[in-house]
Order: sequence, then C-alpha cells, then structure tokens
Amino acid sequence: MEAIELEHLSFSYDGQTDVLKDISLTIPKGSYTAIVGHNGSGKSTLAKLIIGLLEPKSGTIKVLGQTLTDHNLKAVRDHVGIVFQNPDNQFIGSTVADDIAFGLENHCVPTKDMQRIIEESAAKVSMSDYLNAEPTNLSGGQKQRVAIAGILAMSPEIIIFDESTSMLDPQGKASVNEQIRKLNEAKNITILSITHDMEEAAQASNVVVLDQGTIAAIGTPADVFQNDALMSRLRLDLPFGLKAAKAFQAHGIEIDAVMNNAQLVEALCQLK
Amino acid sequence: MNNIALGRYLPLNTIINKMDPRSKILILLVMMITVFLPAGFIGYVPILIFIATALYFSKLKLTYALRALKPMIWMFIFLLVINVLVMRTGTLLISWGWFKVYSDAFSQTAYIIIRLTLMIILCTVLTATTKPLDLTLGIEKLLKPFEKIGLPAHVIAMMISIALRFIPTLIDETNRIMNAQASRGVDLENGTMTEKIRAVLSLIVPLFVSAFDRADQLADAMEARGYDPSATRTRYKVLKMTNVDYFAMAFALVVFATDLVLCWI
Amino acid sequence: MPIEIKDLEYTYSQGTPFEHKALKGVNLTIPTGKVIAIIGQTGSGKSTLVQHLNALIKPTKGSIDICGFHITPDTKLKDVKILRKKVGLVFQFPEYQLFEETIEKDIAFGPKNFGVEPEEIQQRIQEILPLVGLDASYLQRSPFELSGGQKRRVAIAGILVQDPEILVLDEPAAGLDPQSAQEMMSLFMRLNRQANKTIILVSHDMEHVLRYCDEVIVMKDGKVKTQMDVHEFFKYPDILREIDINPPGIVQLKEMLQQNGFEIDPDSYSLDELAQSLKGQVASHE
Repeated sequence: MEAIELEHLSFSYDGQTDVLKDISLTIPKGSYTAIVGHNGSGKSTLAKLIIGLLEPKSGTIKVLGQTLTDHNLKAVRDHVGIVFQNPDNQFIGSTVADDIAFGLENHCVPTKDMQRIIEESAAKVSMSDYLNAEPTNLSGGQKQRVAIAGILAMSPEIIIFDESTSMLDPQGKASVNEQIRKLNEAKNITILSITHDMEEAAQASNVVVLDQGTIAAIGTPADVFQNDALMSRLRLDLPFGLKAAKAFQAHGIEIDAVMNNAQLVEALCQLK
Repeated sequence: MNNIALGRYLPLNTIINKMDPRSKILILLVMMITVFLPAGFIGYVPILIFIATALYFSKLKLTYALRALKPMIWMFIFLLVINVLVMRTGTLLISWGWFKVYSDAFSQTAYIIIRLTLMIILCTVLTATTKPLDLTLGIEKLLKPFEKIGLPAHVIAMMISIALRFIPTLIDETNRIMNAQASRGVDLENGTMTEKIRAVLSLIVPLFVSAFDRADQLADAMEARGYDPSATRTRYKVLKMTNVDYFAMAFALVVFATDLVLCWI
Repeated sequence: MPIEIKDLEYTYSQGTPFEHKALKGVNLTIPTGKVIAIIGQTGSGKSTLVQHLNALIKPTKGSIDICGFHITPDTKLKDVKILRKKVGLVFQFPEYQLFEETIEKDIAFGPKNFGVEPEEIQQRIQEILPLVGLDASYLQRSPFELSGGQKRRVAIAGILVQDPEILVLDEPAAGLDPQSAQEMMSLFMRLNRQANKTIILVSHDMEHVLRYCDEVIVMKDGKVKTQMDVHEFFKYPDILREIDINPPGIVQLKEMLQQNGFEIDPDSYSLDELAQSLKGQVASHE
C-alpha cells in the first residue's frame, strides 16, 4: 500500500484556469518527498487537496489506500497531519500543552491519557520546558515545533509540511528541518514537504519539481538538482554544497556533485 | 496599550490563582449583586472586608487594581457636575440665586463611584488571578446546564478562547500597522476631518484584511486537526473545587446575606 | 553626514509591572551611503533601535542625530514629522499596510500626507514603478487582487515614493521565494549604488548580509556588541554562534576546510576564490 496516490488530479479555484493540471504521483510509505517550485506553481494547493480542505476538479486522491470522499475524510485525517506556513495562525491553544491537547480533544482521547501523550510529544520536539508557555513568548521556530508535537500526539502515518519553515529565521528553519529528518529516520513516518528551501529538499529521498501546475521533474535530489537545463530554466536555487561542488569542478577539481558541505569536505580530503 | 491593568493575567501563583474558575466567576456574580444592594454606606463595610481579604491572598497591590480607574476620573468629575446641577433632594448646602446645591448630589455621586470602583477591583482580582483559558473553561462548564435549552456552551467557549488567544497577536499587529502608517506620515492628532478619516481607514482596512486572512488559515488548521463544532470532544483540563473554593463561596454568601439584612433595617 | 546615536536608552511601559528595558545605552556612528546590516536575536533591541531612526519612538535617555534632526527625550513629535519622509521605514510583511482602492492611491498616500504636490507625486510614481518591477497598467487595479510578492512591491513603492535619504528595511525578503527575494535585494542595491541611498537592513539571513552589506552591527541584550566591516566580521563566525545565528554557507565551508587541514585565504568570500586556494592542495587537472 502506498501512502499517497494521485491520479490525473486537476484543480481550479475559479473554474477557468487550472492551478493543477493532470497530476499523477505516487508517494511510497516511509519516504521523504520534497515538493519544490515557485510561488504559484500549485504546491500548496496540492497539500490542501491531500488533506481534504479543497476538492479536486477531476481525478482521484488515495491516502493510505482509501480514495478521499466526504464520508471518510475525518477518518483519513486521523492518520495525516499538516504543518502550515504561518506559525501564529495554527496555534489554537493558549499554552503549549493546551495546543497539543487540541487534536487529542477533537479525537476524543480520554482525559487521563492526555497529560502523558502531551509530555511525550513535547519531548520529541524538545519543547518539554515550555508546556505552560504562551504563544506570544515563543519564537516562530518553537511554535512550529509545537505544531509538529500536536500532530505527533495523534501518531500519524503521514505528515505534510506546507512551507512550514518559510516564515522562520535561519535558526528556526534549521531546528524544524532537523526535526523533519529525525521523524523520517526514526519513526518511518511518510513526509511530504512543500518547500522553497533547497537545503531542506536536498535531505529528502525524493524531489518533485512543480512548474505551473504540472510535474516538471521527479527523482532523487542528486538527479533533479543536477539537471542543469531544468534548474536554470525554472531559475531554481541549488543547495549550497552542490553549488560549491560545481564551482570547484569548473576549476578542474575532480569531485562528484555532492549535496552538502560535509560530503564536499570529505571528497576534498580524499583528493589531498 | 500596555497600561491596561483590567483584564490582564498576572502569573503570581497564589492560593487565589489556584482556585477553580467556576467558583471565582460565581463569587464575582454574587459580589456584583451585593455591591448594588441598597444597603447604605454601612453595607460597603462587609464588601470592603471581602475585597481586602481577596487582595491580601492574591498578593495584588491596591494601587495596581485602582490603575484601571485612572481614565475614568474625568467621567467621575462629569458625573459630579451633572449631579450638582440636577439633584434637587437632600439638604440644601449652597444657594446663590438660581444656583442651588443639595447634599444628595454628593452622596449619589459617591454611591456611583464607590460601586464602580468596587466592581473594577473585583473584576481585576478575577482576571489577574485567572488565566483566560481557565476563565473560558469555567464559563463553559457553568453554561453547560443551558445546553439542554439549545445554548451552544462549547461553541461560545471556543469563540471566547480563540478571541482571547488572538488579542495579543492582534495588538502586535495593530502596533505594527500604526507604526507602518506613521512612517507614511499618518498623523492621528492633527489634520482636517477628511485626513483623519483617511488615517483611521489606513489602520482599520489592513487590520481587517489581516484578521480575515488569519481567520481563514486558523479555520483550515482547526479542520485539519479534526475539529468539528457539532461533535463531542474530551477535555484536557478538568476543573476541581477544593476547600478553598467552598470557603471563599461561603464568605461571599455571608457578605451577601449581611448586606441583604442591612437593606431591611 | 553620518547618523550619530549617543547613550540611547529605551524602556517600554515605564512605571508598570510590565516595564522592560529594550535599549541599555547604545552608542553608534552609522555612515551614510552604505548598506548596513543590523543583526541580533529576537529581543536584542534591534527593532526598537530602528524605530528611533524615524522618531516613531523617542529615546527614554540619550540622543540621535539623523538627517539634520537632533532627537532627545524632549523632542516634540510634530517637529520631527518630516524626518519620517527622509527616513523611510519598511516593516516586516509590509503588504499588510495596503488599504486604498487603487494601487496608485496607495502609493501616493505617504507623499500626500507629507504635503507633496500632486504633480510631483505623479512624476515620482512614474519613476518608482519600473524600479519595483511594476508598470503603469497596475496603477488603477486594486492592491488586494495582487499576489503576495506583488503586494510587497507596491508597499515598498509607497515608501520609495517619499524619496527617503535613508531606507530602513526589516526582513524585506522574509517569506518570499528565493527568486523574488533576490530580485527584492537587487532593487535595494540599485537604490544604494545609483541613487546613493543609505540602506539599513535588519536581517537574519546571513547569506544576504554577506552578499549585499558593507558593514555589520551586532545587537545583544539592548547593547551594541560589535560594529565591523562585513568581510572582517565573517572571519569570526564565533560571534555569530554566540547569538545563535548560523554563518553563511561559504563561511561554514571555509571553517570545515580549515579544520581538515586546508590552507584557506581568510579574505576569500566567493566560490571561485576558494577554488583557487584549493587547487594547489588537491589533485586537479588543467
């Protein structure tokens, strides 16, 4: 069973121009997929379709083997969590603990189990010391980690990150990215991350490039980012490590195109 | 914005902070009725004893609780002037031709000022010692019996708690927009009427646009997390009354009963 | 004339239980005509500092000399109103300050408040539009039908049209996709290089600071920690780590290479320069 299967999916906000055009995509269970592309490429629309906040114009969406319909929407959402872009506008509780509890309350988890689940989930995102903190006293990165804890409390199978780091400062970005990687490695949760951050996309197992509502490329980060023609046509940025590797190659240093600084330095050491 | 004492929670962790919000709300209601009982000036003595006790245990300074009165001083003076001009009962104090001042002008004004002051102190004690969310939870639980007659207690409580949750966010936003427009030369104090209307619009329109944006995103986030206003939910916070609550409620009732008796004699 | 800040202190909600000292004695000389970065953690006082630059807030103590104005705790706000025209302040997410029915009216709002003649405003709008990447066809449209990035351009045009001598930008590229962010930053660079505007950039993005700024001011706990030339500054990445900010990719790479025994020219800040340093030390073909 695949985590998410999209078949010939199209969507339009106004009924005229299609924001997504005949998208077919399979996301295997336990994988980490990054969806990249410019604003307006349809990335966020895709996320809202998968979680059932929007309805497709045509095509089907299967989540964990079930085709999304009005009837099973609530059941499907038990297994799928989403972290949105704006840290403030998804913080519902008045404290960290209350916010993590919100999903548990909605899913009628017994009161006596809540405290334990809240503490465990907060610990996973390193927010244990902040259970009674109010959102005004938290940084954007901390709020996003609380949002992740709120989802982890539901033990989901799939987590969608919808530009969750784009409003954060670099520290916040780094801490959330670190969290995403940990989740994928340790718990085998399927991750779908919609992002502008190429450093983050480089840590995914798969990258999907969306351009004007269609899939322009799909593959491993190495495959996609080394497709020079595509990257320059879409004017997409490269991960810094790869950019550096390419610059060094151009100067005649014989190294592979690697994705990050650590790999780059390792490769250079071997050439010493 | 930062000088408003009324309605702000102070995390002082006193015995009153730990009380059940339900008993605090009920006590506030009882005390408000008591304040308005026509028990004469002597009737305020038991109320003052109650307030002094509450202030002592909540570790609030009287000056802090009275801060909220500051903006009302002009209203009080205005009230006094009106009363002096219209009151025609009580003892005649001054008589200069048509200008006559009767004693009731002062006593009636004093009543109003005392009542308002007492209510504000009581409300300040409640909000300073009760987290907004606990307050909402208390209101929800107290309204629960009315659900049978179709009052959506849970929805009301959810609306209040979201409103409370977003007040600081919206205050920040208002400050930012005010600063942004001030940087574009907006001056709320000087200028013609049309300029002032434009200036106010330049604050209100962006604030509404952003508030609607937030509401939209918040609704998505709540739905994605499985919120359904018509469904039953379990609750994380459970309220529990202790002996302190029972004692405080008994105290409030004693004050109420004393003043009730004072009304008759 | 440089901006002179002397012994500046600022306290929020003075005399209440919520009293908070945001600036604790700031002394700075900010040169004009350059691109200056102000960095620091949230709560370090950088936002409070920049709000003093156009007298949105007045010092609790100390003084500021800027664009011919001398601002002290006793300064009357109505005497410094015109300073707000000379120092353009662009807040974070400025798209949320739009409110007029048409883009033209919104851009004209600022200069109108400052009493600029309508003909002059028209002329300024015509000059500004291409700078921010918009054209005259937009003028009669509502700002609310634009995309987020376009709204931000309109908002920035609304400040540029005031023709400020100093432009203060608080995270102008936050939330934009990398391409739009780069276009936005290039716009500010053009304003600096061609129109000789002083640009003060409050940013968390060290890639932008390294790439676009001449000088860096580091704020910490309401005080100035360091003020340095940008290339000199990035030779000490530990200053950044102390305030929990990650150095730019190239600085990290240089550090890692040095730790692994490579000889790196400390003044190299481009990948090409770095490649030159490395060439002699690793096997390469030419």
